[in-house]
Amino acid sequence: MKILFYRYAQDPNFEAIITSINKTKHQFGYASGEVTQEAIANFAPDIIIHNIPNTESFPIKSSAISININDTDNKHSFSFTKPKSKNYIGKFVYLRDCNVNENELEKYKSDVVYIGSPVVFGNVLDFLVNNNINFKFFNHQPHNINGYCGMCSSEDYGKFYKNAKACIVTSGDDARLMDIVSCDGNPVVYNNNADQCIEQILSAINENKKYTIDGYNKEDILKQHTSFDKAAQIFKTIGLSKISEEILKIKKIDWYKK
Amino acid sequence: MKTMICFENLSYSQFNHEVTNEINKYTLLSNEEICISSLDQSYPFTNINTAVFSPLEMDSFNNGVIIANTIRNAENILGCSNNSKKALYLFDLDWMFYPMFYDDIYNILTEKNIKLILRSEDHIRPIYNICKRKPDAVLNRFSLEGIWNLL
Repeated sequence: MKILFYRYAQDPNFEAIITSINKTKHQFGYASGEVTQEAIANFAPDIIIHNIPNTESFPIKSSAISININDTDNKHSFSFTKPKSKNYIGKFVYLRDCNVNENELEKYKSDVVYIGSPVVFGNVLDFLVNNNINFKFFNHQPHNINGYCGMCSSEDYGKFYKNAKACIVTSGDDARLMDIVSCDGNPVVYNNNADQCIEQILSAINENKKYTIDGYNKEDILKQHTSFDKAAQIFKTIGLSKISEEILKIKKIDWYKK
Repeated sequence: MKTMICFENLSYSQFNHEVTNEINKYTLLSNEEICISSLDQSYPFTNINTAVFSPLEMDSFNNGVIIANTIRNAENILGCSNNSKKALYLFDLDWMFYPMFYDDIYNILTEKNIKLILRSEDHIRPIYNICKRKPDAVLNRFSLEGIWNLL
């Protein structure tokens, strides 16, 4: 089967779904920007997966099944963002290798880690920056404060989570929380109570205290909420059960290998 | 001592001002072999009384000292196949001003073949935070003699 992926905009969730489908043994094509009718006809895809907003099918006419990763109401449309949508995909994690060689351990170790801009942590950030704590945070936007370590590849997120004594995260940030839990990180949730959060951070650093969050369980996440599960769910919903099963089969091989 | 200093560019900046003053002072009063190379061959903002080489010349600069002032420059000098000693006089914490990958920052800062010299005591903590390395020296003003004495 020939599958064409069309990227309208960069979206980490869309990329994770593409990566999971990519591991099957089908023939793939990739496109973005302007595409001609002729190019589509030449490739002759059976399925087109795209994330063009506000469209109920891929704009260039062809016999391919169009899977729309956008928020429209079409039965072949899937949403990452609208929980009320009929085909809501839900939050999921992208399986990453979190293991680090012993000689690289120092590179990924820290007391506290955060991937993103930490301004949302208010007084907790002041505390982390101004005290003798090994705080590492990564963001594509440079920050001129202690702790900023540049950008890091998404493939390495898990390595930082796993090797930090505390992984700070804001309450309600499900995607990050799932990432942290799935990589054996120690989540410290900030729910606008800076004193409590600081106390938990100090316990994690000094007493090696581990935290668990209700409703977030590593086994459960890995069993049902990975990019493979969601990619499989998409194909199953539109009636392509065979590809759906193939993806799930690969998930097992791919994950348990590590 | 035979020395090459690597610049990012030759236009107006605090670092360029400080270093060109130092070079001009030495070339006027001593016989030290000092030259510079610049990644960006912009028109010099001031008179530089010494040779300005293309970065390609770094590769054949043997038996001397090569000094970089940014992580990017340090990556270049470490890639050279010469036998010169290497130093990184880190004027600013580059990654805090323009996006860089952690891997690149970490690999340069933990490289044992390069002496790490900082401009300010204030820079020690952020660097230690990244890679647990303490600098070989802190020089508040760029000083060739200070760097030579270290090597």
